[in-house]
Amino acid sequence: MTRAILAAHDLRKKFAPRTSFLGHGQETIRAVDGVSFTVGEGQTLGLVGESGCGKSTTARMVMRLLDPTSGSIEFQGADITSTRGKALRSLRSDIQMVFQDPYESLNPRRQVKEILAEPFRIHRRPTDHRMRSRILDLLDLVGLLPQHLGRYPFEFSGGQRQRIGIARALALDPKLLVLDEPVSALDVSVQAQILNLLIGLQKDLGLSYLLIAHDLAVVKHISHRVAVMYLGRIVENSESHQLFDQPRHPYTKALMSSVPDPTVFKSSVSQRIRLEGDPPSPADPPDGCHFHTRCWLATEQCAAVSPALVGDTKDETRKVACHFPL
Amino acid sequence: MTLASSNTDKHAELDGWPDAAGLSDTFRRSWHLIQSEGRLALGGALVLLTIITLAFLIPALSPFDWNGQDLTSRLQPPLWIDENGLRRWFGTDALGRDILTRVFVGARLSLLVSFGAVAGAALVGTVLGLLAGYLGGRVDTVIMRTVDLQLAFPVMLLALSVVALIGPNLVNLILVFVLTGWPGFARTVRASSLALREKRYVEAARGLGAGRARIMGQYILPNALGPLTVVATFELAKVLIFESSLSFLSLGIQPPIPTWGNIMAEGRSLLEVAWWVTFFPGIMLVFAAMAANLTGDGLNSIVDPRLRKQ
Amino acid sequence: MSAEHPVLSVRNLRTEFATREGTVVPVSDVSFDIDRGQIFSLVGESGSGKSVTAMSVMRLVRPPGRITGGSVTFDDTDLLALNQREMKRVRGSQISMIFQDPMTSLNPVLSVGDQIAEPLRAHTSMNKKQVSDAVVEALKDVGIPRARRRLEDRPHQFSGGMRQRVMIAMAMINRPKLLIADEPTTALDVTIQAQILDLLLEICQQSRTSILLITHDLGVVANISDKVAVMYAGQIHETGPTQEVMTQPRGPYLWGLLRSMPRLQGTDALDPIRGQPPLVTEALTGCRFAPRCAFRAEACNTDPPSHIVATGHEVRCHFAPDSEWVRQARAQAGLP
Repeated sequence: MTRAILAAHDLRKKFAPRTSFLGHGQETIRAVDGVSFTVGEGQTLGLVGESGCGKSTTARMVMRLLDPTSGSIEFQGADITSTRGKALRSLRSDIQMVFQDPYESLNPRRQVKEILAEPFRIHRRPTDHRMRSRILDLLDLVGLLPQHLGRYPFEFSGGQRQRIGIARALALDPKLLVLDEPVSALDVSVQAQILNLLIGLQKDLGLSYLLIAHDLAVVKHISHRVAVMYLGRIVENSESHQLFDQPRHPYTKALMSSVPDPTVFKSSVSQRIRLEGDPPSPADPPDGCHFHTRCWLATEQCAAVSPALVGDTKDETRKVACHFPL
Repeated sequence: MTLASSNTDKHAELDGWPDAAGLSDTFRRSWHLIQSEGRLALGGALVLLTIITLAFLIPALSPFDWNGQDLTSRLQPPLWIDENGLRRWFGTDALGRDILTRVFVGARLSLLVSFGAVAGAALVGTVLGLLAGYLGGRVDTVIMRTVDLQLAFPVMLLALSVVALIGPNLVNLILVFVLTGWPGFARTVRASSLALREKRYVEAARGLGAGRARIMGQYILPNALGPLTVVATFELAKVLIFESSLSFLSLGIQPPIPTWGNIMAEGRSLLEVAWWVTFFPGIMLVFAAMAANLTGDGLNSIVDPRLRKQ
Repeated sequence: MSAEHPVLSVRNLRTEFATREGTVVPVSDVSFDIDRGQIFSLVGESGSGKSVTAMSVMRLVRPPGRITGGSVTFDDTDLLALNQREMKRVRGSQISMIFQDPMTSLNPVLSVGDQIAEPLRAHTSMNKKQVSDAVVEALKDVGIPRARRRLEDRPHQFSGGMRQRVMIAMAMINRPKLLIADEPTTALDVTIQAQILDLLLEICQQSRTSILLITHDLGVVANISDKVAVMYAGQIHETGPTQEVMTQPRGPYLWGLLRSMPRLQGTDALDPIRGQPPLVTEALTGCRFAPRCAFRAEACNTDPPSHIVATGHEVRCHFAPDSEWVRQARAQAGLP
């Protein structure tokens, strides 16, 4: 296996809602509840799950935009969980983020050239003319043209805006990109362009990706490894092809089966697995395995004991958190 | 203004109805805005600008000194009432001073105090509001509790005691109004900051390593300027009236230097014989305050749809 | 019984918007039929005109938008000829609509029970008891557990999936003949989406209500619809029975879309359509897809007619009949 560029150990994040004047707080929300994973160098780890599963919170902790309640994050072998000040600033140039909504993540009052110059200004990097040539390189890298420099974000289509977002993330030569739903706001025909761009950039620049997504097909397409999250925990973590060929956690299987496939038609659609009800609230997760309330295989053991995420006896890299893996 | 409306465009395309329904809505809305509210704001601003221009022109062009007493021409009525009189447009007061000249010299002072006070209050309020909204936590608690305290204190009482304590001159007056005016700005800017702080592009800037000062200055403040301007115009109207009230109570700028308030105070006892002494400064105050409020209303309806989207 | 009329028949529909920059035509020359009990998908990317088409059918296009041509026949009634009052009677009783985001389409301060009852109050003369029973029944029908106890709840007390069920209950309460569903599952998680799609299928089968489904997701289209129309830049590019159209696309746009979709099955590299979808404000002449088409030729500068390539399968492409590009494309993609 390749060397890990990023490792998370038992990350937890609790959000305590503001206590009221008299001190009556609501329950804390355990958004992330003991999550561990590694991202291999030059590889993509897909973190997939439904809304509220904690994947975005995890991404923000890796980005150091949120401080974990407990647990640690290692980047290139060094603990960065509590890096501050100057060291954090230089860390920022190594780990960059691409956001979901290119309509929201670009300052509407800035021209493209200012948006792309911002990283250099913040890090007081090269001189003006070197910065200019670097910005032109960046544009070229993401498939935009020099005449786009003087325009404002609203003058671009969604796909082009996402290219600007990617160029900004690449400005400081990062080693790891956190991709937070990078294509979910885009049209189908444009999604593929951005996915291909990301794959190409990874190959050319040797980037590592932590991909946050809810779309399994997108995750499958660009991930080397995939971790499936449910209610703040990772329930399965394997090599991408293994996970999709033969899911071992019932939730993974149900999730895959819920994705509408364009080659499955009305007549045969009823054969899929259907989950009943909604996921429980992260403010009040069920005891034992978080998934047992919706699982068709659940037993008393599942309701009582929380299964650990452990490797397969034959294949250590194939991890699942289930008492009765498929 | 163009930026604000184009920004609304983009949001309209995003939520609810994509496709052209959003587009049409946008065009309709921007057009409507410029047609109605824009006109209102423009009208108000024009009136204010006229008063300011006149405040500079009239005292300069007037043949009369603002403090030139002439006991032979006391209490002359305005020009159009007594055509055989001394041809004073707005008449004269009990000491024979020209009202027209005094009203516009007074306008200078009233406007200077008001604009100065609003600028000061905006500055203090914006800085504190930004800090409260963006930093949150204890800073927020302290600032906002101070705001609450400030707003709970009777404004007039506060002004009276401060003026009584440090004396009524121009600088002190401005100070008083800054002291009473900043909480409004702080609240507005805090609210905008709270919303803007969650914006993805602010998060993106943090991810790039931008420091707090840079984020507040480059990302939050420019996007919070819209609502800030609205509050400033309303505040201007408030301070104009407030300043006149204080002057009227002889707690503002002291005679013989004229302000709208103290001219009115002087005319109060003469209302039955010489209404014009009180009337002209009064009507100027009404015009100015109304113009400021109109501008605020107009700006508000332009800025507001965008506020709601945030 | 003889062959039924279609429930909805749209012919050469054209909708225009007057803007500062001139006239924009988000929908031009759109025709389709929906039979009783059928699920008809209108699929396209943003700006393709699919939502405006739905709004036009409902006559909900607001000024400066205007329907300027064609006809919309619903159950033998020409909807475009009705006055506003008559149209209001149709909406919410015979045709109803659900939207993408159930949170913004529900009033946050009114109880769910009151909101579902609204179409009943507007279109029937039931008494209080009957209304409340009908509302409970409707909630049960859409799978909301303990329905009677939830009548007084406000929308925010429901999850996203449950809110969409509430919307469906409200839309279905007067047993409409046609339900227009505009991106009904786009805001939902996949497992919840699957539940809502099942519910729509069930409604369609049980009450024989026809559904006009507006979506951007070809997977959803395949899974639940009987017929599909693929829209591009205000026109229907390809239409026909869902399974046939999607397994044997004959227009280059749908072909390209399917090739650019990442899938769970198979590991093909993605082959994106180049360029961006056109803006509604762009004036296009000739074939609208031509600027992005990998197989464009001289002929594409003129408007392509709609070719019927199989029963009910129509394609707006000059090369659809001889399908030369299909052979080329297949060869390029290494397919037989």
